[in-house]
Amino acid sequence: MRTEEIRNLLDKYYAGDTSRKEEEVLYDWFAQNEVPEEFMSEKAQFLFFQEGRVKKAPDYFIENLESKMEKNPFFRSPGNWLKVASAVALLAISVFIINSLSKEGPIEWKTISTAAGEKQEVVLPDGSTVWLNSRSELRYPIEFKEVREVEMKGEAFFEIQRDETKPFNILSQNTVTKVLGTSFNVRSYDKEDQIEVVVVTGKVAFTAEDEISEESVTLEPGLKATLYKEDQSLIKEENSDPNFLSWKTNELNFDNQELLIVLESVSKHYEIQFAAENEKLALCPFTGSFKELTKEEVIRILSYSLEIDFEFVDDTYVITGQGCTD
Amino acid sequence: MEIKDFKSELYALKDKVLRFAFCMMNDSADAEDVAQEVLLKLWSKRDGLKEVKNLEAYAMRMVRNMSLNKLEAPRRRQDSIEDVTLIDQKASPLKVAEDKDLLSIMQSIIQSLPENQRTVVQLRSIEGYALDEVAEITEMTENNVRVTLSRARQKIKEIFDGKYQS
Repeated sequence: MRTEEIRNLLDKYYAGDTSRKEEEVLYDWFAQNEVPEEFMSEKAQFLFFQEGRVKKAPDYFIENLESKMEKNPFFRSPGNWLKVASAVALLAISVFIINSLSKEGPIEWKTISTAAGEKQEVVLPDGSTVWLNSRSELRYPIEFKEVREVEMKGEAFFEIQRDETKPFNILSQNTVTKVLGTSFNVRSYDKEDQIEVVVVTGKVAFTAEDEISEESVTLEPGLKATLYKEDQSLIKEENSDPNFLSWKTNELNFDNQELLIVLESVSKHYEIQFAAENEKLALCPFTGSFKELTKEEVIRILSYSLEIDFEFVDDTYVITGQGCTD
Repeated sequence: MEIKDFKSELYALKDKVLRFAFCMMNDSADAEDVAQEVLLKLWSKRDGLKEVKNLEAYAMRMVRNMSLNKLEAPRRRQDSIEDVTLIDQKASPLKVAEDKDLLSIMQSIIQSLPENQRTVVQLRSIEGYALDEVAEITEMTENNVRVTLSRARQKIKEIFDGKYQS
């Protein structure tokens, strides 16, 4: 676009007469690197607006909201809900008209968030499926252009349709997970110290980048990449946790595993915390499977089979018991 | 359709609601209070929402009205603009220092605009609403929105050129 045309568009803009489409043209034009000196003010304006669009509510804001909402439970007949929810769903579609930075102009994006304890399955425009774990968020365009790119927070399992011509990228915090067609799990909660990717099928390239450096690993089935946020160290290893997908399958299996490991999985799965004073307890072996059980049922089984007691104190299950004999 | 669907729809509004609250309050703690209050009100009033044609516009109007009420209250703190951090700047494409300067100049210019101008700029240029939607949220006429928007844009340019040249 020539500067002459930009000048004309800007006249219209200052008169308050530009359409949204024309304004998107301006956003894109000013997003380019070399802007003539005469347009400094417009460059600043459009940069500022662009920046304003990506600001997100912080995690603690959402957590706060959630806990207040939970104190205010609500029950209605399903009929009413259907009406309210469908009206709101229509609205939500109009909400996410967000300017993309690509040259092709605006693409509509959708955001799906899950509350604590809630899970959701999402089918993407290319037929790929994403299962979102609790307190997670997935953002994706309603149509994929030359790359398939989505953003996520929290934890999700991806089953990506193979398409050699369109790689699939997942952006999360400062990492990119690139794939052609595979299935794998990404765990990337803001609050946790590390980001983990475990591959089930296919091949995945996982890249962590910050301002100074970029580091990449390629993962095959059964392998796991862990990025420790504190020092940005990236480690590739065998996945040792057979229950890493329990949040999706709702099934935990233990084969002669130490209680410490068992509790780690149970704690992740049910989002609860454990503490024990007697260190001997950590080594007690446990074998068993939990299929679609509630946390209370799991605790009852553990308590019964290992002869230990659980007491719920300040958000934490405190474990007491003798420890095992051998 | 269950409660969780309604919850997700509310969650989908949270970023916009918070950004708009920040635009109004110019203080991140106050903005968060307003945004929480609006979302919780919607949550507790959800049985009445089927009467509301445009929930999003309704939510944004609540943000504005609540903010205006709070701003009238006497015990308001005045935060300096530089101290404000509303967001985790997750996906900022702006790496160049020059751009950062431009951004901070713009931030202070926008905050210095009269409330109605600031509001229409936020709703139109950042949130991307159509003029009739901005009119619905602000309870102004569409023509009034257009005129206010035009004035705001000219004023931004005027102040910017003054600052940038000096």
